[in-house]
Amino acid sequence: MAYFGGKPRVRSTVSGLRKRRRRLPLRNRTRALHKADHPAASPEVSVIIPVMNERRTLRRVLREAFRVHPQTEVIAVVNGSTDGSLRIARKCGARVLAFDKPLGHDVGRSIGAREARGSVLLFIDADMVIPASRLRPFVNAVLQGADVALNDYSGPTRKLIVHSVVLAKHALNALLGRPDLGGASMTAVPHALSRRALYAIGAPALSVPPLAHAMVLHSNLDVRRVSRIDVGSLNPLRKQRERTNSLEPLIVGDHLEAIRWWLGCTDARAGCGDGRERWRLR
Amino acid sequence: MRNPMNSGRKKTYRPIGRPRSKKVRPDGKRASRAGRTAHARRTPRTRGSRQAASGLTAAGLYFAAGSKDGARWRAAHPDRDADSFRHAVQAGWARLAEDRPDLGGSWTAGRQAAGAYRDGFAAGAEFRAPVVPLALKGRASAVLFADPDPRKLQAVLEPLEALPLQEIVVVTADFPEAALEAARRCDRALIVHLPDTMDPDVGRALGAKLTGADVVLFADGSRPMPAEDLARFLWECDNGTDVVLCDRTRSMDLFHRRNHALRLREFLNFTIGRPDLTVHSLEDLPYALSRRAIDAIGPRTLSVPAKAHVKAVLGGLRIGLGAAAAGLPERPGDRTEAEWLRRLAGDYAEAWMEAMEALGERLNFPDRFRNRRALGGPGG
Repeated sequence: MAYFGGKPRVRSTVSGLRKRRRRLPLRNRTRALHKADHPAASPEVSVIIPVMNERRTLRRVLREAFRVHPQTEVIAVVNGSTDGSLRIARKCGARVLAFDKPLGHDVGRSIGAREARGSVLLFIDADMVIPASRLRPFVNAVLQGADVALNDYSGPTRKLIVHSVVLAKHALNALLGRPDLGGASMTAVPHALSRRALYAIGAPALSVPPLAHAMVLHSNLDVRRVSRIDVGSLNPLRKQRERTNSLEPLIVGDHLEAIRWWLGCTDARAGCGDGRERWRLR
Repeated sequence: MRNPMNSGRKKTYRPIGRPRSKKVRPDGKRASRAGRTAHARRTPRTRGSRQAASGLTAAGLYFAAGSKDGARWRAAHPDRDADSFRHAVQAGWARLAEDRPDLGGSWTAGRQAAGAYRDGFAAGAEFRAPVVPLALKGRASAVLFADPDPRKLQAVLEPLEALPLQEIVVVTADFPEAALEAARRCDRALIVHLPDTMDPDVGRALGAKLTGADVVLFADGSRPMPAEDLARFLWECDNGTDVVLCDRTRSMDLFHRRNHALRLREFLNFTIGRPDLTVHSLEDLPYALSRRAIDAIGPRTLSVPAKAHVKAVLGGLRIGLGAAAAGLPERPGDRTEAEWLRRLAGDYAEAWMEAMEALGERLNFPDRFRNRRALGGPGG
């Protein structure tokens, strides 16, 4: 059954846990038992993972996600998966939000954020395994006061002509008065948000990461580059997808949508002033 | 507008002005940069020596024609002033070029011949003044916002006087009398003086409004450029290019070393469907515009160069490159980095707004994948 617009199916982890105890390794079982002992305890950290046919890496990604903080909920937004990802997510003890049809790029982030209960929201992808020890700095930065903790990754820039997405990220930061961020952006995972940041921008904006990025920069939130994780080399090369259905125009368009939002915030010059006396040209 | 990203297959693009890599020579070998130069150098030398054996080179012919015209001019102008000399060289060269349409085919070929004609003219006239013979089909003028330093202004005006310009519109603001005096020394200068402070971009836009020429060269009032390079802008524009931009190809550094302004330019060009223009923009001086371009962009819009650039691209104007300018300023004026970037951001806000009003908020980069009904609010 497809869910569009309505409330997604939210499955409790408890029923899945009983089965899982028999099958999972001991170290996971311990954590699961700990969670089961305090089902009502509010988690400190919510890890949000959109999932679409990620059977190959999902188990390891979920395992690392649970290790990020002692009080962690892991939310897997499984959409359009036909490869058994849903079963894996349930078995591993994640809160699963299931959708039969694909939601589209990054829409899962919004859906997950809407259901999240933690005071820190960590966003990762299901197709790349990042060890928990490398994810913790993002969570810790937010726990220590940052609103947005970004991956300090700008993509390959020692070139004459860079990839258009790399260019877009740099340009958006320069446009919004934060050139010091280089190419760091909410377009790249991992990144963590405070609940304050989530309130400021609203969960729906997270579906268009450059838009969310523009919104956090415009809201004068504390946006920092935290640590560098080279997602370029971790991300599997999807040659087939790049050939048939490249994400490049989508992400460039997302940056334009972000710029359009920014333009609508104030006046014709986005509040940047001018100083030119154009009346002389009348 | 064509969008290279929407055609399914990924297309590569070659930045404008950059040579194609892996060029193959007629003999089948791949030419390296050094090899190609050597090859190019060899070719005219052989032809030249063959012609020398027959007694006349092409350059020699133009030198002889110039010498004849020069001698005639000398007889008619015993007082020999520089302005009349320049006028005679330009008129003589224009007559000659009219009979030889092949000279207009390539910039370099035309230059060699024009140089020979000018040298011949100077020899015949026994007089010399800086002049770049240039045969233009339309009327040309230059517009510049003057520098308050009279020496700088003079250095900028001198090469302009060597060109076949009908007028040089010099826009001045609250400048010292000495600067105005320097402008008055130039015969062809049309001085627009406003006794207040004025933004250089607004000054140039005002100049554009005042001139009715077919080709207008917008020069930098603070940075002199060789007359030969400035001539290139006029020539390209006269030969059908509507917008001739300053060539930054050679000075383009690797991306991580480029400043923020260049990143904005490059992204703007990418989003308006001209990734080949990379960092080239109407923000660099000098540039030349055809009458068609000035009418399409509108003189008022020229006061915000980034917006004018978008209008030029979306207006379907032919955009090309002129000469390379050395030492383009990192940022103009005495503003701090933050102030400069803020104003630039405002310019780009206007530029993207212009594009979005024409092509929609995502320009030609639609989102066909997301199920936004599952959301609500700004992302949805």
